[in-house]
Amino acid sequence: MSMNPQSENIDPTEQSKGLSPTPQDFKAPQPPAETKLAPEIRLDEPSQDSTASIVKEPLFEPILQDKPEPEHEPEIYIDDEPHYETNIHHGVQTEDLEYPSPVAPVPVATTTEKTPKTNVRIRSIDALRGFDMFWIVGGASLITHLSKLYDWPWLQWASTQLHHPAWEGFTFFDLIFPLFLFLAGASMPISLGKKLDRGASKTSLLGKISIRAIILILLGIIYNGGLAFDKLENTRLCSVLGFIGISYFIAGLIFIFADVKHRVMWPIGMLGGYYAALMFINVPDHGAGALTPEGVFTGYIDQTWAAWKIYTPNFDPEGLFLPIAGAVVAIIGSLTGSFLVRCSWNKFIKAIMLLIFGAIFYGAYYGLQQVHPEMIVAKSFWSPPFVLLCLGWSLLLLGAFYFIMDAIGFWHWAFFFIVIGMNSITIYMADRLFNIGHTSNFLFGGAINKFFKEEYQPLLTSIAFILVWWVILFFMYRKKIFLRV
Amino acid sequence: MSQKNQITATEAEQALEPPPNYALDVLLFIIKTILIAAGVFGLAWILVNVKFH
Repeated sequence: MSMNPQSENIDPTEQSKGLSPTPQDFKAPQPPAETKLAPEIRLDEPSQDSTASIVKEPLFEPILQDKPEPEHEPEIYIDDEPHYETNIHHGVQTEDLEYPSPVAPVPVATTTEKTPKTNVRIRSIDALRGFDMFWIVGGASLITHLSKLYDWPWLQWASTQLHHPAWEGFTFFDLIFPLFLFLAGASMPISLGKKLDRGASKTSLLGKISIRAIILILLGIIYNGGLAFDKLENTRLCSVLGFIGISYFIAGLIFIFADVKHRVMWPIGMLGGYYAALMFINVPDHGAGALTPEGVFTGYIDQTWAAWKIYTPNFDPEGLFLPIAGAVVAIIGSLTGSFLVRCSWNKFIKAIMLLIFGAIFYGAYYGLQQVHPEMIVAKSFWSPPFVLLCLGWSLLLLGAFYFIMDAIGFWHWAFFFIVIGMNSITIYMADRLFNIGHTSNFLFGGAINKFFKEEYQPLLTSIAFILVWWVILFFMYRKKIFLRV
Repeated sequence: MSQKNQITATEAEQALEPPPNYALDVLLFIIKTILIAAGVFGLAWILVNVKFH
């Protein structure tokens, strides 16, 4: 290991290209400056003679403030987009969706800026997204079949959480969609923030999020059977993917053009305005503040504005006005992502802060329920208490995942979820496009029917279904195929 | 000498900057938040009271 004021003599571009050193590189080591020390650099092969080492080995990596993670990522983590890498930029820590390549030259820190933390990865976001999607691709079915076989109280309770309530109420299943939006927001500082750091214009990013929103809306229409080219009144244009696209667009717009203060201001104002609209806008025949399927103003907007099919006669759970409430979740997610990426605090403290903020949102929900119990919790129109509750749970879950996976570093257990989380949109669309049930039945159905009792067959069929899905996703993961919008 | 000049220049720049007015910041924050809320409310009101079909 060596300290290296002389490292400033080395052209980082040459190092990154692995070129031979110039004679200037052989300068005798200079004493460190009195006040400004260049960041320490660690040589891959430490030597007594630091100068000689620099000549011999051009690969450097900055010393980490934190203890570097000892394990190397497997080969599959090399290069492609959906992995994490921390870049050094303007003396702040940034992370993007790339795992570092063990073969690529690592840029040397030659400035006198404060040494940033590097090599920090937010695995917990991918894992939590995978955990979220797992329940859609068979997890719910697995628990339901298990609950039919075993009468354990916790299992019975869990099975009740895997259905949406008809109108009012909250179950774990209601959290899946908001949690996905929250995580999409949390990834924003990683994806869009990286591009901003690299000098991309705000207009170009606006173009990117616009295209992304349009693609998601189109995919949502396709998901709802739009390729049948049926009459408009028989085609549902509102969709989960379209909802995500519009919410992401609003949140992205605010992320790109607003500073942190305004990014806090927007969700408060939006949720407040939405709350006021629910309470005070007079819906014809129902009056103001009627939070019923027939009387809620969001449903009325769907009825009067949507020239296409809506999910129920009265409202669409992914209706026209609801992405505004969804955007609140995505914006808070983006603030959370910025906190994780930009803040230089210790990871344990960051995890605890996430848990504290989760508790605050949960407390806000609880307080609101005490003050104004008429404002019900309902996913069908994304009521403000529902948004607060989802934000609370999302932050608590991310805090727990971040604590275990990123702070402690115990992440291998979640590899199963990471594989799912890397191709979340793929799994959602493909579940509609391809009959994986048929495949799993073709592969495992015979054995299940032959060797197991009838009562166990539904459970094993569920497991086979998840297994087939996971193997497909793992294959894509190994081949570095990450379908993203 | 040059260092002393730099310090003096920095001090001069700091002296030229107006002191932060936190009360005004909070007031602006509240006003802007209310405006955003009013915008969302107004949009909802228009969508309810104007019929497309």
